[in-house]
Amino acid sequence: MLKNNFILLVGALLFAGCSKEPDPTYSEPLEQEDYDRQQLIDDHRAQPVTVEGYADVYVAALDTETKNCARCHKSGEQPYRDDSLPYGQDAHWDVAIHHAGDMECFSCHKKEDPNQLVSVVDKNATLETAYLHCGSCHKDQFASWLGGAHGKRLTGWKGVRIVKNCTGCHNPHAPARGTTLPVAQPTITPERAKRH
Amino acid sequence: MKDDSKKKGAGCNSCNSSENCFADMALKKKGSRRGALAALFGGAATAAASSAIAAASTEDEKELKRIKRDEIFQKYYRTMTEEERAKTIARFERKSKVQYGVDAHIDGTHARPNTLFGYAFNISKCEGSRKCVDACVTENNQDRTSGMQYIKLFEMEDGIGSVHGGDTEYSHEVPVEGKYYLGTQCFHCENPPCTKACPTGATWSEPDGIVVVDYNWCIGCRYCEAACPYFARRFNWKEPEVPSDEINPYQHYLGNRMRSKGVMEKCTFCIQRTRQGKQPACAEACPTGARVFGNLLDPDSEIRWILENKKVFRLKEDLGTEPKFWYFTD
Ligand code: HEC
Ligand code: HEC
Ligand code: HEC
Ligand code: HEC
Repeated sequence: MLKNNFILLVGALLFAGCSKEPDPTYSEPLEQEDYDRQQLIDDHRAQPVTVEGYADVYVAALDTETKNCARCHKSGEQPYRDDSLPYGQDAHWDVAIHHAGDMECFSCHKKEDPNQLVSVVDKNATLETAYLHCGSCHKDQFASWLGGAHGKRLTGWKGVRIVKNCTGCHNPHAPARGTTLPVAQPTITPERAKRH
Repeated sequence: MKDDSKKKGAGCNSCNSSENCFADMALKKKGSRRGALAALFGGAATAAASSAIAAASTEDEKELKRIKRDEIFQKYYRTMTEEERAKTIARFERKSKVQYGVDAHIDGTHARPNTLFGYAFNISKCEGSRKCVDACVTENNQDRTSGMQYIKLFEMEDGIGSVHGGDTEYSHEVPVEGKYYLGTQCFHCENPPCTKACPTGATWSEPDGIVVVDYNWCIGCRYCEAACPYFARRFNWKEPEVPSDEINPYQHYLGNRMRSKGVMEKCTFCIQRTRQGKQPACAEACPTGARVFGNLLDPDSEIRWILENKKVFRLKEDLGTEPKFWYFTD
């Protein structure tokens, strides 16, 4: 206590006049326009979330080029060329299901239309709106995702909110996240530091 | 640029930047505390005195000397007029050009109205990839040679709550079964003990809740560091060194502009980014979404949703420091 007071005294003597609280200064409020809302939406090829009350939340598109099912599976009566083949593993050899044990392709992909997904939240769920599909089984995560506690916001804290789709972080066929090596401690040698 | 590392900077021997000379002067008045500290820490503080202030030519050296002299007589950030601030910023920008060859843009944006920043960290999501630490060091121009980091990412045994048992040096694959990961940094307390401990007023809470440091007003006494119950403050025992091609030129007066030896620094919630509406670098870099940043005064913000809907806690809550940094689980 005594030492503290002494320091305060020395401080006050040395820096007389700077101990009183100056009035806070503000800059102009940040406007939504500052962020070029439309530009961000275009950059992320984002679509508004199709859940009531969340129209101002956008979901960034994933690379859908390779996922155009209609290239091979024509929608209609029998979109999959041969319904009798077990899982078509030859065409989709890289699709291995490690998700809740015994799920089949058609637990998720609609039989009538390969571009659509099974969902009780919204029967029009597509690959782009996969969150409606995942959300019909994972209600808690879905609610957290809408609220902002699960998933990731890709834009700044201010302005348009663009988030990642569930499928941006989880492979729907094997959604458990693997392990990675951590980034090495970010230090460098003194030799490199001197390069200035 | 020129590698002129052996040369002394500004004619002052005990310290190689003028604000530190100032600090030394202030400290000598009360019995050279710094001398004692330097001895204690094996000369770490003085060893760096020979570090490079590489200047392109003697002309530049002279200018740098002049700039550093002006810095001694610089006023307190909070009592400067806007004009004085602009002038000071112009001087810092020139200094960056002369000293590092970097065209820095030093921002002086004040707090935005109706903004109070807060942070939430999901300990059931963090996988310990340490991408946040890396992003923070790069964004904030932290000294690359001393391993200074604002963020500490602890690998913790499930069921253990105290970070004292945590490991920050792990290098195995993450996440590890049975462990969880908890990151700490400056919590920007509503009731910060550090600012009260500062004898010069060099550190204070901004109206948007960010606890900042005026690096030119800091005398390096480290009282704030001792006062912080969260070990969030970092001291420059030596002249910080960052390769010039790695210096982030987008800087803020109260944020990531280049510091010098003998001053305190810490996380500023990336003031240079967040006052422009961006996320802090750590939150942006996080691959799992474990880091959520936002405006506590905005009822529609994600951080408010978390505070209202999740089980949240803060570290050492009984101290009454009121950190604006919450932890939560799913
Ligand atoms: C390059 C062409 C091609 C594309 C693109 C393609 N598929 Fe297939 N798909 C096939 C073939 C071939 C089969 C196997 C059927 C067969 O061998 O007759 C198959 C089989 C399937 C089956 C298994 C059917 C069963 O009876 O078990 C599912 C499910 C399926 N595809 C879904 C999709 C979905 C969803 C997409 C879009 C994301 C898609 N496919 C895109 C060629 C394609
Ligand atoms: C848990 C639900 C689920 C199951 C089960 C499932 N899928 Fe998928 N699948 C999805 C979702 C969701 C996407 C969209 C992924 C995206 O947008 O990245 C998808 C994408 C695809 C794609 C295109 C992208 C890729 O990864 O190649 C193919 C092909 C595909 N599924 C085939 C199949 C086949 C074949 C099966 C059965 C063996 C199957 N799926 C089972 C949900 C499922
Ligand atoms: C038909 C219901 C259903 C759908 C649709 C579904 N899941 Fe699952 N999911 C499950 C079940 C059941 C489990 C197993 C839960 C358990 O083990 O406790 C599971 C487990 C998971 C896990 C934990 C995996 C692990 O091993 O840790 C994740 C992550 C996950 N799902 C993500 C998703 C995503 C993303 C989607 C959408 C692409 C999705 N799920 C769609 C039923 C579903
Ligand atoms: C930013 C990335 C990200 C997004 C987007 C994301 N998740 Fe996750 N999710 C994670 C991480 C990280 C975990 C924890 C790691 C784990 O348990 O494997 C996780 C875990 C889960 C789990 C396992 C149970 C749990 O809560 O730990 C489920 C189920 C799940 N997510 C579903 C979803 C659904 C549904 C969506 C979309 C509405 C979604 N996730 C979006 C990153 C994400």
